[in-house]
Amino acid sequence: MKKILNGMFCVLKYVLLISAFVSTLYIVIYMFQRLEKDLTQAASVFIPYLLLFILFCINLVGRQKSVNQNIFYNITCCLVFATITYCGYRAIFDENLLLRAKTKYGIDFNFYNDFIAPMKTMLYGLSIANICFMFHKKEEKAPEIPVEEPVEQIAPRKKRKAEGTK
Amino acid sequence: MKNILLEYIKIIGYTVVGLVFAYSAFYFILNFHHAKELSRTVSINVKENDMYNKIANNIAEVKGNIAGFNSGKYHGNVPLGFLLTMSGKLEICTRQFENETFMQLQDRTEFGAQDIYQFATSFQSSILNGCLIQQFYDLSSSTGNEIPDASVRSFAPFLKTNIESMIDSSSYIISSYHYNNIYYFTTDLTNNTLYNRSSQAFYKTLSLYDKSSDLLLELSNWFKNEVN
Repeated sequence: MKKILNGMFCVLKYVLLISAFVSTLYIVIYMFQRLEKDLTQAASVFIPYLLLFILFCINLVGRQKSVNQNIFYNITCCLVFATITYCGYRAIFDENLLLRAKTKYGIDFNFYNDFIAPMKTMLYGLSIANICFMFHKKEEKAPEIPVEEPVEQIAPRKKRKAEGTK
Repeated sequence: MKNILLEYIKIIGYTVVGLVFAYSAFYFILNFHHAKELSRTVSINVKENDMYNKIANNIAEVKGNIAGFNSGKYHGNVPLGFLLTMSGKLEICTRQFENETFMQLQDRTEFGAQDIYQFATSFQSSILNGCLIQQFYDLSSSTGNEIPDASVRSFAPFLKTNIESMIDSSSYIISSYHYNNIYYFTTDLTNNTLYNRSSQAFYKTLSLYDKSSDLLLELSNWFKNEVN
């Protein structure tokens, strides 16, 4: 059961990461274009994403069980990416955010801008935790247990011995 | 030694994940809560609202006052051109009052944030800009010689003060209502503020409609007295 759940969250983590990244990319690029700001200034928003992408790639390629099979880490990743996606969704589609109607950009930049700092904090937190989980004790190999011969093979020998003594 | 260090790193990792979990869970729930709070609707039965009925009656009366005007039969002191202009202006204003947003109110009992915002902006564009400022502000700010009738001349400063106070009030309603996207720790106080703001914005806007309709009625009464 735990394995199934873990597998599910592991897959969901990547899906949500993509959706969170796409929503952030869309909003931030659109925001910077409308405000006629230099897009290089938006790099600081995407650095934590880049860092996580690299770490996830290392986890996948290195088959690091200590990270990939850590259910708590996977659930937290899902929650963080879901929160980012939800905030992006609200900034674009929530009609009750009235600045969205006032500015007529179709996106409530004011709302999303407030969320950028917590978003960065959460993403950097995930990166730090990922690096921490990469260092782990190597599993010691269990001592080899001598394999006993099958009873059937021993039995004829015993028989033969018994017969010899007779 | 190495093992202890690795254990410490593991503990740090779990601590950071725990903190991130708590932080993101807080933001996730807070956003849900904020979205729910903003989607709360205000229940107002407009059909039974006295102010709304008074506005509708005022507009009907204004319409009646200007309907009886026959330029061919007028032999008064006020120049006919001025009266024709006034009649046209009052007619434009009644049409602005019957704009879609205002007329749709009577069929509804529930109003969300978006509806109230539209109602307030509709007042600004249709009534304030389309009627009072475009049609009557020049009259209210004229020095005196342009207005041929003494009673309208005495009424002009009152009109000006009212229009200017309505510009300020409607701007205040809209700008204070805009910032409903700001949220921090949601308490009962902020919940009530969000909810009450919607309710207050509706009634304040309705009172501005009422004030405008009163001004129109005053002008149309003068017009009726002059013509008859």
